[in-house]
Amino acid sequence: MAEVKVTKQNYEKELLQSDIPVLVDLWADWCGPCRMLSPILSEIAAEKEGELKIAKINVDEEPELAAAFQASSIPMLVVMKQGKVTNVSVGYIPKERVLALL
Amino acid sequence: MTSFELIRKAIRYEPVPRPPVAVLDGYNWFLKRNGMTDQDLSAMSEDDAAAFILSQYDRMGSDLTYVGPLASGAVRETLSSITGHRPPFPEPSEAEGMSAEDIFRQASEHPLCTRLAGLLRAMNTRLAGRKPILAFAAGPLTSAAGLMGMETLMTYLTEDPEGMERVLDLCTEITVASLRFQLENGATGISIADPVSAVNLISEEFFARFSLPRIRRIAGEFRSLDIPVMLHICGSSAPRIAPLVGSGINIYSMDDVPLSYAIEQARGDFAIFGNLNTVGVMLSMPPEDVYARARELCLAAPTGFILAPGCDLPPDTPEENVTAMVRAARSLRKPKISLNPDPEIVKTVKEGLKQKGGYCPCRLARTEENKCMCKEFRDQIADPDYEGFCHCMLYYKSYEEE
Repeated sequence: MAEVKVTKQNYEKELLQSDIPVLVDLWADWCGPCRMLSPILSEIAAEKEGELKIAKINVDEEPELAAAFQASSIPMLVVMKQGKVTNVSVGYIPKERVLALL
Repeated sequence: MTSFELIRKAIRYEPVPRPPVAVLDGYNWFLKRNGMTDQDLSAMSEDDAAAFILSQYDRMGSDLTYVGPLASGAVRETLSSITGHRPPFPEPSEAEGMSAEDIFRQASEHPLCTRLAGLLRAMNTRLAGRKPILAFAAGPLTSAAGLMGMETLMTYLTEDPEGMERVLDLCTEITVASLRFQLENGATGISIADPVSAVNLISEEFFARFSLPRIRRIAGEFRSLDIPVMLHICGSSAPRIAPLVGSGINIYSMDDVPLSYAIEQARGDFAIFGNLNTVGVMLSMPPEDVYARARELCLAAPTGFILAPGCDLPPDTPEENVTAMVRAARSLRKPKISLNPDPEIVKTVKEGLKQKGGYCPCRLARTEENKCMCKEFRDQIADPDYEGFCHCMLYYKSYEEE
C-alpha cells in the first residue's frame, strides 16, 4: 500500500494531493541502479507505513511525467511535500542517503 | 603496489604504473601550514609526532617520508663539548686524533639522538613498510661546513687540503655511523643533502677530490641493503651527474638541470628526482600550470624518475600546487575498466542497451553523448581522481596498481 504505481491518470491524486510526504522513484526496467534501489525503497516503505508514500513512475511507460520532472537520468528520486518538490537526487544512493533526502 | 615497491621499480628503471612523487623533506612547508614551529613538534610525544609527520606526507601525497637532521645536531653539540669551540672545528687540526666511532657513540646518547631513535621506531611501526623513511645525512663537505663554518671550510680547502682531507674523512665516518644508527632504529632509506657540493660553490676538481670519494664511501657502505640512497645537490648541478655513476647512490635529487640530459648522464645507474623549480613553478605558478609542467616531466621519463620539487618547498607554496604536482603523477596511471561484478546488473543493463539501440538505458535522451560508453564515463576515465562506476553501473573504473 505504501508503494503505488503512478501514471498520467492518478498523478494528481497520488502526488499533488497526498496528505503525507511522497518519495517519487523515476525508474525503468533496464536500469541496473534502479533495480538496486528498488528493494531499499520497499524497505523504507514498510518502515514508514502511514508516514511516507513511495510513488513509482516507469519513465518508459510515462514519458510525459518523466518530462514534467525534467528527468534526464535515472534512477531519480524526488521528495514531494504538500504537492511541492523539496529534494531531488539522481543515481543510485545507499539507504542512509535516501533517508537523509526525506 | 606500495610506495616502497613503486620507488624500487623506478630506481631499477622497471616499468611503473605511475611515477613516484615526493617532496624533498617538506618540514618547513608543513609546519608553517599547521602554524607550528620545530619547538612545537619537539614538544609532542614521539608517537604523536610520528603520526603527525606521516599524516603530513599523506596530505602532500608523498611516496617518501623523512626524519629531520637531529643526529647532525647531536654530533655538533657533542663535538663542541669536546673541543670547547662553537663551531667545534675552527681549524682542521682540531679534528686530529679523533675517532668517529667514539664521537658518534657519545652523540648517540645525546637527547636529540634519543628522540630521533624513538621517532624512527614510531614512524616505522606506523608505516609497516608502506613508504620509505629516509634517514638524514649531510654530505661530507656540508657536514664539515656545519662543524667549521662555511668561510673557514672554503679557506682551508685551499690552504690546508691535507688537513681538510682528514676532517672530511672524520665527517664521513661519523656520517656512516649516524646512518647505521638511524637504520637500526627504523629508517628504511637514506637522504644525503650536500648543498656545499653545488657547482657555484666548489670547482669540479674540488668536487672530485674532496666530495665524490666520500659520497662513494657513504653510499657504498649501504649499497647492498637494497634501500633508496638519495643524494641532493642544489642548483645547476649538471656537471655533478656523470661522475656519480657507480658511486652507490640510487637516486639523484636535482634542481636546475634538463631532465633528459640528467637521465642520459645517469645511464640507468640511478633514478632522477626532481625537478619542478621551487620558486618559479611551485611557489609562483597557478595550479594548472604546475600540473602541466609536472605532467611534461613525467611523460619525458616513463621510469627511472621520481617527480618532486627541485629543492625544499618554500613554506608559502600554495597547497593546491602540491596537489597539482601529485595529480600529474597520478594522471599517468592506466585505468582498468571492468564489468560490474554483479552479473544481474550486467544482464539487466546489457538487455537495456539492446532495447535502447546502444544508448544508456539509465538516460532518457537518445543523444550521441548518451551512447554507451557515455560521454560522462569517458570523462570520468580521463579524470585521474575518479574511481567508481559509470552512471548505469555497467562498468567500473579502477587503478589496479594502487
